Amino acid sequence: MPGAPAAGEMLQQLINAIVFGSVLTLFALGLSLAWGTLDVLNLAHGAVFIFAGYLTYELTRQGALSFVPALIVSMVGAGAATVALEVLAFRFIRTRFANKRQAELSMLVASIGGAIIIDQVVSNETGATTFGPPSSIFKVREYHLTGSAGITNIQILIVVVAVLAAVGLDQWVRRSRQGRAVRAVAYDPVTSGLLGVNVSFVAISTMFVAGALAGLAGVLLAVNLRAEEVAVGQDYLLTAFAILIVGGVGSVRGAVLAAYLIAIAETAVVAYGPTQWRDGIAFLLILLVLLVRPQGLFAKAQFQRA
Amino acid sequence: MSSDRAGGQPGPGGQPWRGGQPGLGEQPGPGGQGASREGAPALKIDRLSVRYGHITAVASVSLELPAGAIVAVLGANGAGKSSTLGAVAGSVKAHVSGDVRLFGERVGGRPSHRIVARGMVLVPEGRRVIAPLSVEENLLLGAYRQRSHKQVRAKLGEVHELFPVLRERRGSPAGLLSGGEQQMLAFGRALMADPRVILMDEPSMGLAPAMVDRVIDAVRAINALGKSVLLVEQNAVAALRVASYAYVLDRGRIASSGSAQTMRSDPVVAEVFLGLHESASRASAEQGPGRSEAARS
Amino acid sequence: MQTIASISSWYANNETLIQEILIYALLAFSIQVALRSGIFSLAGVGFYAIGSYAAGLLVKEQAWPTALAVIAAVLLCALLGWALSVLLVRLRDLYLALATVAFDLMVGVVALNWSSLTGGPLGTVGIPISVTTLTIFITVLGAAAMLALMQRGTIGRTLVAVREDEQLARSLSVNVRRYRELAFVISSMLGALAGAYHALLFTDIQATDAGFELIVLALTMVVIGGFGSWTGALLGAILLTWIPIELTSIGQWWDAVYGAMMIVVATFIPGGLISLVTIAGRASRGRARPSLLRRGSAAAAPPASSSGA
Ligand SMILES: Nc1ncnc2c1ncn2[C@@H]1O[C@H](COP(=O)(O)OP(=O)(O)OP(=O)(O)O)[C@@H](O)[C@H]1O
Ligand SMILES: [Mg+2]
Repeated sequence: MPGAPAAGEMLQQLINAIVFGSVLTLFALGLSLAWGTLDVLNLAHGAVFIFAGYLTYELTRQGALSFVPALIVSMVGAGAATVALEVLAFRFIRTRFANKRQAELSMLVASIGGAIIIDQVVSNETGATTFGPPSSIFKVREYHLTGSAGITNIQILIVVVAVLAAVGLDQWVRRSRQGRAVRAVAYDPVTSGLLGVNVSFVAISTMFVAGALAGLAGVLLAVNLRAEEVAVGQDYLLTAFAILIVGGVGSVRGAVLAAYLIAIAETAVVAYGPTQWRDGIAFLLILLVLLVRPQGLFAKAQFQRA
Repeated sequence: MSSDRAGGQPGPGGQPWRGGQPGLGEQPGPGGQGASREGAPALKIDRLSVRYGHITAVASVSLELPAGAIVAVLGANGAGKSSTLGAVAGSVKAHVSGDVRLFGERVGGRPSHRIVARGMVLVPEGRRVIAPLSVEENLLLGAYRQRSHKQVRAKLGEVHELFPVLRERRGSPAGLLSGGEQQMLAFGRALMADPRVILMDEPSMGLAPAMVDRVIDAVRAINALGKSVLLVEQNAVAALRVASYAYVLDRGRIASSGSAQTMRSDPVVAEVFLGLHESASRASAEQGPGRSEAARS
Repeated sequence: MQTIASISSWYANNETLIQEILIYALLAFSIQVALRSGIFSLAGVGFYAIGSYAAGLLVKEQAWPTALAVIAAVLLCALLGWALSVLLVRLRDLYLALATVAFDLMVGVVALNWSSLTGGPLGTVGIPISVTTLTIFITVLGAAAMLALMQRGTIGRTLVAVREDEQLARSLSVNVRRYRELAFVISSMLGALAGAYHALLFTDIQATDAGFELIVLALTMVVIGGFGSWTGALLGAILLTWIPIELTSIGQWWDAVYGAMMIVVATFIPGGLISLVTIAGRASRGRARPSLLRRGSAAAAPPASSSGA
């Protein structure tokens, strides 16, 4: 049976791609939400993602907390870090800068400053090496599939959580009262205020959700890999740029599709193609899509500017 | 710096129309001091000034909207009408001073969403519908502060009753409605908040004459629901058809005021608004309030 | 005598820092000239990489004279920059920023994979040192003079019009596309100059040199210094090269302090640090000679009309 190992190998690669795509989805959803509604391209998103993994490591390594409480605390921490940036910087920039382009630029630089601070905290506390929560907090079980392929329970959890989070966010934005307010603020904050929407509260809660999603992704990745480092955040950030562009800024569905597409493409290149070109995929996609269709490849966005 | 004189204002003191409105039984006395009071006017603006940097857009404007009334504020382009309404509704980014009371309760200086919560809504200039959201979503957004699903549905029913077109087009993006339909949506959206006072900024702007009539009918219908209406307009003919009292704003100051009836025959208003709009309003801007005061006395 | 000696010893101790500042100044100019024209392009960093390979390889492999190699690298990047500006003509703001970031990083990926030319992961090493600090200093002066000229007169005002209101500029029959292309090409050339000098001064090139960190650094220099004029970019280049070295002495938290300063400046000083210098200068001049100030500002206003024709 010469084909069986190859098939098993391919299945394994597909599973890897889907797990990777799920983490990417969680990561990109928050980034897309912040840009799509508040015009913030938050470059601290990658740092917040790693920060959450670090919090879980810190909270669990002495056995202080078990998995679920640590996950929740870390997500809140990640959300709070993002809200801090909103309250300390983005909010002032948004209200004080008349020129929208300059506001975008200043928010970009302020978010870089936030990323530097968070990265510094994490690398100081971890001695700038890889870190990860102890294996005891999550009993990893592997289920064997055909051939050499297998999937672990944490991998299944990651995929399920990503799908639930994407569907939940999509429904929240499209159907809930608060989601309606988020879309209105994205389109016209002044009029939204005139309708009774507390715009700064909407901005804060949006940034909290964005940060908490990055935190969720960061904790799940930390538990899955048990070895994270500050530099990983930047890799995810750069890949997420491509997801935003391909999927369309602000579009939940586009982000999900683009995340899995890029994950599969990158996994395929690493497994079967010229490995070193892996990073090029994301950058090439950004350039190609922007050249051909600046609004993104996938249909209308749910909370995009009209 | 702007407290130099109240001379831009007509009439005795800050009570320009005391006893001047025959149609209003519940004619109030001067505004109360404390929280919401029965006898207090729906809206009382006292020496309101609005400055954008060095530019003073509104200089010490005082006016009153009696409960249940429709009062018009007329003025040419740049007279400061939108600045006044924006300052009252808490939506302008400018330096605002002066006192604003809603049924006797101080609301000046609060952010716009708080003012909505107190029962006053602005229907902004140019309608400002949330274009990518559906008509129904726009209406639901108007009821943002109302959490009870049942009450929101009931309000939606009332608004659909008043503006059937909003029911017909409920699923389509608000941006695709015609200008007149968008104005109805803006009215409906304001009603969804169940306000006591509605501020309207040039609802007839950019509409064909037939549509202007429908807008005026809508204003009357909204007033019939018990809402007090402060109606800002350049179209004086239309506004004076529904309003019981009117102020004329000129370069940030009240240039004249009086009951709708007197205003219709007021030579200044006649010249500025009832004739050729564009050229006449420019003429008034050049001649200024001095002339309008002279004409009044 | 003693002062000359101490100056020269100070220079010897700080030569590398000065060289870095000069090269970063060119890179910062590259980003500043684009931003000031309303083009949110970070492509200067990609041309920094291309310029460094082009000049480095021409000198090392083809034994070209330094001046010729630098000119060739700059012209190559001017051409590529023009082509890129044509390709990206429809993009604005954050989308343009992301596209040019992708371009920069793609240059790095290509360099990493084109081993026969660039040495791939090993990099290009052993380039002969072939420029002096003085040459670079003169180049920076020349670039500053050019940017100062571009901020004035018809070109300056047209670029501002293109930035502030494209529609208006178009209605005044300004060829908006041409001006955007011009700014883009100049930005590419300045980036290439910085890269070429870096290669010819520090003798080796790594494919990762012009990565995301360099993009972030260049952007930060310009925004912190102030992108309204070339002086802001220069100030940013000086401060952001020098401050990290100073801050190392305060221990392991220096990066956090640096990040906090970035947040504060980006949030509360929209014109960048150079605007503080300008305000302070105006205030001190104002106190000394109030009457001159009035005349000075009256004289400052007319250039709009006097050089109008
Ligand atoms: N944001 C602003 N910044 C600076 N000046 C402003 C601003 N908004 C309004 N102004 C100025 O304030 C004055 C009053 O403007 P406002 O919009 O209140 O007039 P208006 O009566 O509503 O005019 P229109 O009929 O054209 O709507 C004008 O001179 C205008 O130029
Ligand atoms: Mg107006």
